[in-house]
Amino acid sequence: MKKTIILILLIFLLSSCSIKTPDEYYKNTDSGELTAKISINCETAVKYKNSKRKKAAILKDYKMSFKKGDTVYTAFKNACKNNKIHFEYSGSADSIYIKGIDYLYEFDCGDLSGWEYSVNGKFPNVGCNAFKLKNGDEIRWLYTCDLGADIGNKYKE
Amino acid sequence: MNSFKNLNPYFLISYFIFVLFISIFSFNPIYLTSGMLGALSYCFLILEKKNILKSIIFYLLIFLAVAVLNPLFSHNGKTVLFFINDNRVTLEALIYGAVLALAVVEVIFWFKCFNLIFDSEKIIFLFGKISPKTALVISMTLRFIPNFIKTFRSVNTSQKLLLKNHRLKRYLNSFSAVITQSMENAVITSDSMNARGYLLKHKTFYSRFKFTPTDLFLLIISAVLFILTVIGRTSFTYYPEFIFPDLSLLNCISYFSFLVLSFIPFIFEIKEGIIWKFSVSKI
Repeated sequence: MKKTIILILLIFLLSSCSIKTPDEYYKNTDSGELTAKISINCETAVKYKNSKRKKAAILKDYKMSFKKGDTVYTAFKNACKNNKIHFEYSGSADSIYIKGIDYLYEFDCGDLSGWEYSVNGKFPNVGCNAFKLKNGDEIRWLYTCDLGADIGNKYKE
Repeated sequence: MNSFKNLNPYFLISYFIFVLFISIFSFNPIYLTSGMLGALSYCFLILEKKNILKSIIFYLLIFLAVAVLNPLFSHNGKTVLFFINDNRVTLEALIYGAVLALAVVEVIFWFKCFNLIFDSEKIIFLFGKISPKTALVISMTLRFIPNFIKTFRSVNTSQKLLLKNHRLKRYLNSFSAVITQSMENAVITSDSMNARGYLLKHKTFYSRFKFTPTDLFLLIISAVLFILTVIGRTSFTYYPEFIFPDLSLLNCISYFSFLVLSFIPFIFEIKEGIIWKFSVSKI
């Protein structure tokens, strides 16, 4: 009885994961009729004291095509896949949070550092998998060392 | 026979501080393996081999669990093995987990040795003058768990006759009984220590520990080895890719001196054993 329960749980766990090899993962996934621009920038981390980073732009104005109803996260994920850029996320559904991009993680440059995103220059106050994209949107992922104040998104209490 | 256990507590505590300091703060697999070997070899000399093999299997399981779980939660690293739900599982995270697990198991084994060597007499000798209350609390807590297991077993066997088929009830009964008993024990111990004037100001402590030339010699040797170990520039970088510290002469000396440092108890024990054997054969 115990064994069958454990077996069922294991099968359930494994079926909810999708396991891919690196070659499968990095297949080009450009699809859809709408386009958006994505850039990833960590200028603040380069300027941070004792920083080993030299290149600020990780991705520069990359043109990405997406389907209708796709979110910022899906477009970002596919852009990273196509350019073989490392990223790590946590959470699921609407509340996906990007912990690190290109080996640069949250808290690497002080307690107030991390990744934020803006669409057309505005910083939406929702998770990146809850914001639906429109045609021609410009997404920017920016690294902050000061809770958004140094990239133009000051935290209001 | 003069074994490692009977050396002066001042030397013993400083030896353990040296070894544990490096084991805990250097996150380097070479130090960790040599420390592990040192602790294991001493345990093999002192404890029964059957018990050790059993505990090794148990700690191997802990080691595997930690090593496998780390890559599932940490996705940093450049060498990708495969992807789970778009998060990478990397070689670096796996190795980091293995080193973390090795550190945990190594420190556990050194504390096993610590438990074998330090009885309550030594702890009272060390801390009795500085802070008698802490010394008593430490010695009581160190005794608590082995004592608890022992009494739990005996109570449980007697409960087996009363409650044959109710396993849960039996365990609960004996558990509450042992808890009550150990609480009572603690109160009685502190009361009786008070009655004997344990906390009086000008109380002197009897001790049978002398600081012999052997202790001084060993203390100096282990201090020198500790300093030689600390001098080495041997910090590993794990993320996003490995950066090995170069094998310069300084680092080699550092690795070697920690190896010798962690084998001091083993070497001492073996040396005394050989002396003992020869002195017997002469008679």
